[in-house]
Amino acid sequence: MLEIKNLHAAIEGNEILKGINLKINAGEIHAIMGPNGSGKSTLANVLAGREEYEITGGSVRFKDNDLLELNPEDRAREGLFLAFQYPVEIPGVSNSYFLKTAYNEKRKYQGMEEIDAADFLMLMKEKMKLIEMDQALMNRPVNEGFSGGEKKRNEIFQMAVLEPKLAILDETDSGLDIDALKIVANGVNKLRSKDNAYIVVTHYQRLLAYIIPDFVHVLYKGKIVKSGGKELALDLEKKGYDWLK
Amino acid sequence: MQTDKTILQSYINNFQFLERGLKKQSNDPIHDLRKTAFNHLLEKGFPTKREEEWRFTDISPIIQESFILAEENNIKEFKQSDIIQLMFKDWAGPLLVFINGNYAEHLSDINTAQAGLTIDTMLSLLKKDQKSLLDTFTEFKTYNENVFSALNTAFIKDGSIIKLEKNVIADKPIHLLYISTKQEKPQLINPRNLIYLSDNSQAVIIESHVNLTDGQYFNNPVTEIRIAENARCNHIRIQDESSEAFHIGSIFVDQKQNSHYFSTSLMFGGKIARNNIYTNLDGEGIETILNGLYMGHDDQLIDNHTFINHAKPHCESHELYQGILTDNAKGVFSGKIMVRPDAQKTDAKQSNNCLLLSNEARINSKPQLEIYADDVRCTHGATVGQLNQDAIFYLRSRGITWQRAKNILTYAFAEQVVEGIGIDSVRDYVNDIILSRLKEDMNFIK
Repeated sequence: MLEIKNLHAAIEGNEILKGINLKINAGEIHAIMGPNGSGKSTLANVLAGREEYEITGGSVRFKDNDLLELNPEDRAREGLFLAFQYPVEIPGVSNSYFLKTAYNEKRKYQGMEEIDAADFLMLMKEKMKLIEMDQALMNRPVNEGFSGGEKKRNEIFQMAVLEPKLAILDETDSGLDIDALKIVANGVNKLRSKDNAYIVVTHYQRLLAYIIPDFVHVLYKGKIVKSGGKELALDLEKKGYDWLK
Repeated sequence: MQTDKTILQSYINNFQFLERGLKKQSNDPIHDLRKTAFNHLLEKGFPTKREEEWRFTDISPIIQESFILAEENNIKEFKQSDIIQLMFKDWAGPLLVFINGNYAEHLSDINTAQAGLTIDTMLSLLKKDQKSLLDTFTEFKTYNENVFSALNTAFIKDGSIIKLEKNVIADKPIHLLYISTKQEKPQLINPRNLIYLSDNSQAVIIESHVNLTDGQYFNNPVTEIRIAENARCNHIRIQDESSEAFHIGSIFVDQKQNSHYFSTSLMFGGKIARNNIYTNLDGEGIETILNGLYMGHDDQLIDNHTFINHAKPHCESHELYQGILTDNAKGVFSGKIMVRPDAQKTDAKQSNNCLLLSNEARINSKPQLEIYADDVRCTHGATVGQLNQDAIFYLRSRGITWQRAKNILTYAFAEQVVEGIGIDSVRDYVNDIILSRLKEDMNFIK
């Protein structure tokens, strides 16, 4: 599904990613861990197409596409989804309008008819139940005045509606209390299938107790320095990152 | 300010033309009012950029053009189907249609059955009951301090007169529709509206200034609104003139104790367009809301001037102006809030936010607070900027195109003013204008 080869990326002339190699198949969950400043969020943002980052080398294939050639909206329409570490507040645009527009853009891209308001409402209700999302949040402006936990849950809710092939969860656990963490993890577990894949970017092991990864990679100074199974996350929890440096 | 004689000559010719047309009626008392105002205009001349209030608005293209007074010959040719796109959908309230400043009776409907609500036209009242009109005028001021309102008074001919008796609540909104059309020579149009709300009365008035065919003309309307004790007026003003037109509007509002004035001023059209709102808060417990939206493109110049005079204690004013400028458009916002020594416990809040969507678009924003009382709360804020890049990326990351993401955010910015329009058909009409500017259709927001 995704194949990253020797990826280098820089921002304002500082190279952050220094040769990432990673292959992800459908049905897999990959955790990317690492200390602060190791390049985890940069990797997530580069994959989503954030334009502040300059790609200085390497390649990324996503399904049958050269991902780096696609603009951010086409990446999303091809099935890539980034759950933001810091979801953006958008005053004046309601959550439900925003999601319906996004949903229909994707349908149009796939050559399907736009969904009507009634059918979309049904879909929203079904997904809201899945994420235990408060319906009142739907008519509020996107993320405006949401608590940290509500914002993160809203990201997972959008993911549930848009049904991506590859979802990247960027520090989704930060700012969540344990109950919210369980709900988010539970949502992801219900959505996972043999056809989709996840990259879970996290600093701590605690999310991985609920979303069990198939692979764990440690990112350090812009490179993956160690890969392993889910037990690697537990080792990191015990020993910290110092033993890898 | 001295204005070149040759410039004023065309106005002198027009005034003489008007007087010839009046014949015997030039002895009418109303004509004294015209003459006083005209002499004031001749004396004072048109403002130049050297005057503070006109520093950013160069009106020389207006005053260098010579206009003729609009004639009423072909009004009957217009059918309702011709103007339907300028009307609000399924409109059931009173409607006054003016074409090039002249009342089109056959397109209007002012026969409300409601007791205590009088709707008439200036011309009709001048003919049948000039005394009551002049009595009304003496209650109003003739506002000569602004030469464009003096110009309007000098050429007073027609307009809308609305009066609500005590305790009367107009059961339907009232639409004043001013339509301009292209003529062989550019025309000068001076609509004059008087709106009088007695104690405890309420009305919603929508004033629109629009065009049927593109062309150059100069629309110079004046609206005077008196709001007596406990009365409430919701005034929505839509300016969507021809792209070649000049528009200078003046609104004078006088408010008494515990009254409420809610203005929504929407400025879309015109080559040079300016709207002046003067509100006088002459009583305690008054609330004044001035909301505005302006959208400029091409080489438009759109200017909003507001003046809020807090004269008495315990009054509130809230002002929110949102501007969206692109291409080479230029915007001006000047918001003056005067708090007189008596006006303790004043609560005044003003904000003007402007989006600049091109490198060439410009805004001159000038908040002016003059405070002579010591126990008040006054705040003002102005922002100028581009769309939030993080928000654009967020929308794009969900599959929404760059152009549409920009449009969604721009619309949301405009929506902050539009959402205050409490009448669906009027809001739809305004949304149509905004969406056509964004090149989006109605599905975009529904």
